[in-house]
Amino acid sequence: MSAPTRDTSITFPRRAIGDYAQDIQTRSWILPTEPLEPTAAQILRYTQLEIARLVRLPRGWDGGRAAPFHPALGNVALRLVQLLTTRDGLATPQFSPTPDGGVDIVWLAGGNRLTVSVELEEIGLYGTLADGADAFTRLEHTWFDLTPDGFQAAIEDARTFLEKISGSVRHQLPIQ
Amino acid sequence: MPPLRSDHYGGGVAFEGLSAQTGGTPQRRSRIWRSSHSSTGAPTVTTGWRSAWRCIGHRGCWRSPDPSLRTRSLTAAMTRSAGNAWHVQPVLSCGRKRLAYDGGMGDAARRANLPSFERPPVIEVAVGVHFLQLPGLSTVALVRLADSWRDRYPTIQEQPVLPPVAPGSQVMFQLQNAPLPQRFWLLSENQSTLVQIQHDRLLLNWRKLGDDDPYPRYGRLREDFSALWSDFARFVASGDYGAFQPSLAEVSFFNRIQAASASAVPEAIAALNPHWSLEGHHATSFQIERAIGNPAGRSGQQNIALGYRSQTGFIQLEITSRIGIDAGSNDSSAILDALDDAHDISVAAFDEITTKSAHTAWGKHDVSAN
Repeated sequence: MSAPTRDTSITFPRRAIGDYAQDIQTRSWILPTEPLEPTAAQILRYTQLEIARLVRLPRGWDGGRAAPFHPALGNVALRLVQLLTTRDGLATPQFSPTPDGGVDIVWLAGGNRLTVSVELEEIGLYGTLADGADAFTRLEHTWFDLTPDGFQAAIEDARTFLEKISGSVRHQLPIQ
Repeated sequence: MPPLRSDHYGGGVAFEGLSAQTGGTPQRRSRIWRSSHSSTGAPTVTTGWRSAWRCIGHRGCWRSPDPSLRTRSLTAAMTRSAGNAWHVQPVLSCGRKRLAYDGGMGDAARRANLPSFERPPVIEVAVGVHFLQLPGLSTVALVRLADSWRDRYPTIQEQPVLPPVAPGSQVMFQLQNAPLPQRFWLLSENQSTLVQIQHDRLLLNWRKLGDDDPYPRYGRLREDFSALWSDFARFVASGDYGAFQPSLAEVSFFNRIQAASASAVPEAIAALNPHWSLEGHHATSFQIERAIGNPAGRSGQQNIALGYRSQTGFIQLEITSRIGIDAGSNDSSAILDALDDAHDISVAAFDEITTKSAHTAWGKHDVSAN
């Protein structure tokens, strides 16, 4: 059996402590107490506010023919973030509407990227390392073809990946 | 008890539940008018009154600078043929729509030409609204909310949470890696109505408990739901629960139709071929999903499910319609408009999917535009 040629979501090491230590140092200098990290509940609330913002986008929000955000996908997106954000202190996602009425949810940390793409017809989960390689097996399925086992495996891979890349995060949430 | 009731003849008519149906309070009441005439040889007496109500049922009406569009009029005509009971036919109209009032007397149609059934086979109806999940609406908050409705719904029961309405949602909810949120049933004293509340929806159900229980009609359920929704919106606004964003209006009808055998199912269901049969046939089921929409451009989805098993002797026909709510508006009129559309589309689908002979048995009549 040959050795793996590249890291996977399991073998991918946490970021060097330096980045985070510097972050802590900065925060300690600004804040009078120990640095705080957003809790999973705070991230969920932030997600809910962002999704609510997307839901209000009008048709043609891109200046073209973009569809408005599909109302049924809001709670699906929230549920996905909830499934991935199972502990405190993780990176904060960014939300981008897609022209078909869906949303791309992206966690960016240290050049690594976790993307969850939610459309009316399909779902995608991608983990991309800083060098462009896949961090875990991509999930690209229509909702109809999605199996519980395949979805469970992809969520666990994505969750592990998110926890590892979150070590290099400068949190942007208002955590006070 | 139907929401429409004549208190006395001659001095006026009192309508219970009218405020919610018309969406406002009376602004001006005009004279009582009365006439008598003969029709087809039988003496007929007609009486009634006309009043003007501020129309808040349609956003385009009550915001309109045109006073005629802001006003919704109610004309209630009571007709009695000699020796017969009074027949009450109120008609609502405003600048945008002319509506037959759903008065609980067989006039279930709000929209012109929508069919109505005197003896519909409905055993349960659910009306409600989905909203973007409120992270702060925890079990504790739900219990506090339930407590505020304790007078009307004294019994509370815990239930598993309903999955979000979206493709693939069942798969997503099979992952039990996090504590699932809670759903509560709040039951009325006689348990015929119940409120379902969870972190992303509020539903009101009516259930037929006894064979003789009449369907209270959509107008009554709409009125009750409207009051619940107002309470709920106030409750959410009073705390830090998250951004309140209604997304879908839902109306579901559950019908139970007697059928002696599986081969008799097409007698009631127009979607099946009555000239086709197969020996030994004892069960039937089918499901239809279709995209729906309304003239305002809001899209939605309708699910129709039918099941029959010879052991039970009845067809279970479920029709659920969900329509997107105008996201730019949180006012209750937009929500009730979407709810009305979901209701109308459900009734129309029921009419389409069932046969004319069944309609006759259920006492179908069309409510004309006039």
